Amino acid sequence: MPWYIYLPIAHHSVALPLIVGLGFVVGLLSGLFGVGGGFLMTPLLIMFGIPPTVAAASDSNQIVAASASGSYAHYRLGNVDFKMGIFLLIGGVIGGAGGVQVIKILRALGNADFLIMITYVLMLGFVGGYMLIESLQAMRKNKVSSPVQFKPKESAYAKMIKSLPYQMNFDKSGIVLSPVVPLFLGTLVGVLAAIMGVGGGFIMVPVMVYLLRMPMHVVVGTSLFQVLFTCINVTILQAYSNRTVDFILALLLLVGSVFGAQVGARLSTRLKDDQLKIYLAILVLLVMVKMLYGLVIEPHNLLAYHGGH
Amino acid sequence: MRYRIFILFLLLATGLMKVSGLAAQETKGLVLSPEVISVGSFFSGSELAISGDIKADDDVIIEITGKDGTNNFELKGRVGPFWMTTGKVELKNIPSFSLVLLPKGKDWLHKADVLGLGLDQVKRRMVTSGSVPVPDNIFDMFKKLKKSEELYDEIVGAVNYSKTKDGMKHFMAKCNVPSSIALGNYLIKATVVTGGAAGQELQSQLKVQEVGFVKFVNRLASDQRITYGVSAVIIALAAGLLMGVLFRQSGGSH
Repeated sequence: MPWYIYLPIAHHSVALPLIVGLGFVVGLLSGLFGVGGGFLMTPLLIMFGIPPTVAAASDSNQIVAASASGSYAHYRLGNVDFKMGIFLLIGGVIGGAGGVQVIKILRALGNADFLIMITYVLMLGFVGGYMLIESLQAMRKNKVSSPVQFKPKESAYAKMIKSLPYQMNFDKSGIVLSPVVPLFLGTLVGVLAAIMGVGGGFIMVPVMVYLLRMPMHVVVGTSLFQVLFTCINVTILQAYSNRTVDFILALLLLVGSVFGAQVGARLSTRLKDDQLKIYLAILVLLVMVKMLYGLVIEPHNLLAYHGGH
Repeated sequence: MRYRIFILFLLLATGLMKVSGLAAQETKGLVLSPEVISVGSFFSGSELAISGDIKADDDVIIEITGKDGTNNFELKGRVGPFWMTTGKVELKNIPSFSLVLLPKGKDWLHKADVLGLGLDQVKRRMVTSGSVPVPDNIFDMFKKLKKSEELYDEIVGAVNYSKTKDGMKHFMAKCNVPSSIALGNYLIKATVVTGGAAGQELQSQLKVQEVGFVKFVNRLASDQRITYGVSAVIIALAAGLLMGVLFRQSGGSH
C-alpha cells in the first residue's frame, strides 16, 4: 500500500497516516467539545505544506463529515436543541455574509492577516481564561459544600435578557429565552467566524454556556448541529468561488475524523461538565499561546506569499 | 594499377576514419528519463535522470527551469512587539521552478555565476517593485522561500562522469522532482563548459502532466464547480452518518 497520496487541488503529496491521524484528533475534539476543530486543523495543514486557502476550504468539507457524525451521535443521546440550533444558525448565516464583507474591507485597508490573528489571540485568551477560572471555581465550590445556600443576585445581563420580547421555552436546554438573543449572538459569532475563516464552534460553545446558560452536554450537540450547516454552506461556496476544496484531502481527514468524533462523543459522556470545560479551556489557551508566539517571534523568512496566513 | 587502387583505398579509409572520428567527438543530445512525469493518485515526486555525451575535457552544467511569471509577496517587519506585514512586493520574470545541477567541486557555484548560469542569473533577470522600498536582500529571502518548497536549488556534485572513451565522456545527473511541481513544460538546458567558457547548449523538454483520477477530479472541480462542491458535501455527509450508524449499537447515554 502506498504511504503517500497526491492531492489534486492542493498539488501536493501527503503521507497517508499523518493526514488520517490529524483527522482523528480533530474528530475527537469535535465529538468531545462540540467544536469543528477548524481553528486547530487549518494551521496544522498549513504547517504540513498545504496552501492556506486549500487547507481552510478542505477542512470545512471534512468538518461536514465529523459534525454530521458527531451531531448524529449527540442526537441519539438527546443532546441536540434543534430549536436553539436553528435560531443560532439563521443568525450565523446572516453574520457570515456580513463577515465576508468586513474581511473584504479589512484586506483593502491592508494587514488583515495581522488583525485576524490578533482577534484570535484576544478572543481565545478571553474565552479560554474565563472558562478555566470559572470551571476551577465551580469545581472548588462542589468540593466544599456550604450548609447555607445564598440566592445569587440577578445580574444586569440576566435582567436585560428577561425583558426582551417573544420569550419562549427551549425545553431541551431547560431555559426560557427570547429568540432575539440566539439570533443576535449567532450573528455576532457568524461575523467573527467569517473573519477568522472557521466554523465558529469554539466561539459558539462559550457563548451558549455563558450567555445562553445552556447545559454543557446540550451545548456540545447543538453546536455540532450548527457547525454542520455552516460548513456545508462554506464548502459549496468555496468550491464554486475559489476552487479550493480538495476533496481527496477532505476524504482522508474525514476517515480519521468520523472515528474520532464517535470516540469523542463517548468520552464526553464519561466526563463531568466542569471537566469538559477545563479541557476545552486548556486547548483554547494553548492555541492562543501558539498564535501569540507566532506574532512576537521573528519569522524565519520575512517574505511570504501574498494571501497566506 | 593495383598500386593506384591500394593508394586510393588508403586515402578513402583515412578520410572515413577522420569523418567517423569527428562524428564521435561531437556532443550528442540530452537523454531524459523519464521524458514525461505523470502525476497520478500516488505521485510523491519523481527521480529525473539527465544524461548525454561531451568531449573528455569538457564539463557540463544542467538547468531545469519552469516558465517565467510574476508573484506577489508580503514583506514582514516589526511594529512594536509584533511581526506583521509592512508592505507588498511584486517580483517579475521569476521562474516557477529552477534547479541547477553542477559537477563535483567547491568552486562550481562561483563558476556557474561567472558564466551567467544558475540562480544568480534569475536574480539578474528579476524585476522588483513594491508598496515599500524593496530590501537589498530580497532575492535571498525569495530563494530561501522557494528552497523551503524544494522548487529552487543548486546541487553541487549532481553531475557525474563515466570513463573517457574515444575522446568522449558520458555524463549523468540525477535529481528529485518534488510533488509540489506545477503541471506544464520545463526546459532542460545543459551548457557545455569548455576551457572555463560556456560553449554548446543542449536542450530538451520535460513534461509534467496529470493523469487518471487526479485529472478527473481537477477537471470536475474546474468545469462543474457546483456539482463538485455538492458532491463533496454529500459524500462527507454520507460518510459521517454511516459512521454514526455503525457506532450506534454500542452507543451510550449522557
